[in-house]
Amino acid sequence: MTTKPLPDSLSLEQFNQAIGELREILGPERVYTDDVNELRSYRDVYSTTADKLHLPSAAIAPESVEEIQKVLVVARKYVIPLWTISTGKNLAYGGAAPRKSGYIVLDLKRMNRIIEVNEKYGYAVVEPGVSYFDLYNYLQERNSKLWIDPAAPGWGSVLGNMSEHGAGYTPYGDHLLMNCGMQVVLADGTVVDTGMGSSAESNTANLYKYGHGPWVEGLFTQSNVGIITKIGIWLMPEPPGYRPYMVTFPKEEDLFQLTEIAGPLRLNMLIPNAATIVGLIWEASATTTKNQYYQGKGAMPMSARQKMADDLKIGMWNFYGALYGPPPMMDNNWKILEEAFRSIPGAKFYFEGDRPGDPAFDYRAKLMRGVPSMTEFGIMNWVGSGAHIDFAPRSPVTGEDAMHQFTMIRDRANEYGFDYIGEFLIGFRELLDVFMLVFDRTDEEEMVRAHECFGKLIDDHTAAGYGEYRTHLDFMDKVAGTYDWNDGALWKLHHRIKDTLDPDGILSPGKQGIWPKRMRQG
Amino acid sequence: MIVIRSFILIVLCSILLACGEQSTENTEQKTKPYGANKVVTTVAPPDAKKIYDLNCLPCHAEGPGHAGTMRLARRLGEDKSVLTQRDDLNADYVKIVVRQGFSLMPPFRPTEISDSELNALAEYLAAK
Repeated sequence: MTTKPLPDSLSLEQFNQAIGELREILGPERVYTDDVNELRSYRDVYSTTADKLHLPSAAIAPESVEEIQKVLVVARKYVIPLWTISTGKNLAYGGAAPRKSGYIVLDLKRMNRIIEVNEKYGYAVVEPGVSYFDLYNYLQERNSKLWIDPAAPGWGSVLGNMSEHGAGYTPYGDHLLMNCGMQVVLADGTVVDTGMGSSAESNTANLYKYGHGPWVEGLFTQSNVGIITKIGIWLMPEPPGYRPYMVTFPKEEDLFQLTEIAGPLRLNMLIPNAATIVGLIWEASATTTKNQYYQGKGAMPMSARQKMADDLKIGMWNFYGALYGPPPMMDNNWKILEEAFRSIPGAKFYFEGDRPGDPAFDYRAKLMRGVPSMTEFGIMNWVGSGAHIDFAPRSPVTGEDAMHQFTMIRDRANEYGFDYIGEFLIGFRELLDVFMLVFDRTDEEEMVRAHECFGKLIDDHTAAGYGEYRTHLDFMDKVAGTYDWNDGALWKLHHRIKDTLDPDGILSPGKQGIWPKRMRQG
Repeated sequence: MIVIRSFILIVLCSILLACGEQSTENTEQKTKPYGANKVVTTVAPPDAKKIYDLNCLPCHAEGPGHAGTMRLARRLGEDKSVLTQRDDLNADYVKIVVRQGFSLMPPFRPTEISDSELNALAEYLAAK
């Protein structure tokens, strides 16, 4: 018989009392305590550790700010950790599961109103439960001329992805940069509208980010000192023209020159969107699986990879970008881009219509114009029952750094028997390397191996000067420990803020390695 | 999620009005709607096809580029790869898979698909 996980220091009797009070607030239908029929849906089915480390004691689903305030009164009274999620699709980083077993998940999926869409000024105001699909469908139904900027899986939360510092693929791909206006409920129940929105009569709450005084929005992202209940997000007006393109490159070493070329073009905005350099297997996984080309153990050898590349007419690297604007402008920009990319021997160029029936090109073309899909989830098919966690370091946009990261990850992954499944997103001044560690979670030994591999990757990159911008629940403390300059001054600051704004330590303890005083080690 | 927005407009309006009078233990606070030209989503009543289209179709539609269809084709064969074309699904099985997850498919929570919506979805797929 299994024992129900409970919040630390709470007896079953106290827990049941608290649940009773939460049911008084939310009604029995929005308080979930059935471990099998309800709470198993809050597991992280992709983690490299056992489910039992991240099982909630309950989940609750408020539908308004007022209900959150009332829930907080109960949480403070019983000192219950509340783990906040939005759509719960932060998959590869923990999904809907809490940092530690016993927490109550504060599930904001039912706060799913699209409060405003401003067609003239190009923004939307949304609650946490609004997914990219929701916002896209809403705009389409109203013939809006505004685009969204979705993360690759369309079921993600607009608010949640922004607050995790997520990225998309249109020119609005830096989601935190596109946030303007935020409403936060603090641990004591105080409701704060940030920036210009803090002025009662403001008409620029979603137009100008900074207001007067300190700019505080960042404090509430990847954080646990408040509950974000509403954000403004800028939406890109549909441009007069759009042309997605793909350029394939035949050799792994081409990454060096490609990055050297693409970096300055991005910085100077000839490449205006968050363009991507997609690795072979990431690209191939939209249409094929590993065992179609390799049935052996361990990482796929180069001979099989080359055959797959040849069969699918893709490169070891596949560059996706898009042109936006009036046709003459796109024509002129393309001349420069084409000449630059053509300097790499073997480069091949593709536009819309050149790759009929290729789902990889299709979903990339959609993403770069803000159409959400779930095609990228096909990567999970690469191995049998594919689970995955993502490793996401940042580096400068140079060929040397790109190759250094790529070879470090590839070699370490191969050493542990995993394939390199990666892509690089090109920001203005940084490369975001996303390595998807795909493994079979039904194989316990492989799960352990994946966990060890991930830890080594963090060590390797820390030693080389590359920091991770986001990580899975199981590695939050480890990554936080790499931000250690000056005796860990930054995390000490985070803890001082945490202790001040959430003295009871009830909001998402351990998020990003930020713990309340009562739970800090040492 | 449209199906989960089981609010009616009147309720939404009352919530919005209530948002204007939030109070905390210590201070009276006022919040206001952001900007002008407020547009509030209205909500359709639960509808099995809509539930399916929003939650399942993106991975289980016919044709390439759909992770669930691709997985089922590998596991069970092409003829059983598209959920809405299968005649061997029973409602209880669908409910278990949705709540517990299966293979690469993560579970769906009751806040995403409520129990009554799940019943409707399961019956919809079982009746195909």
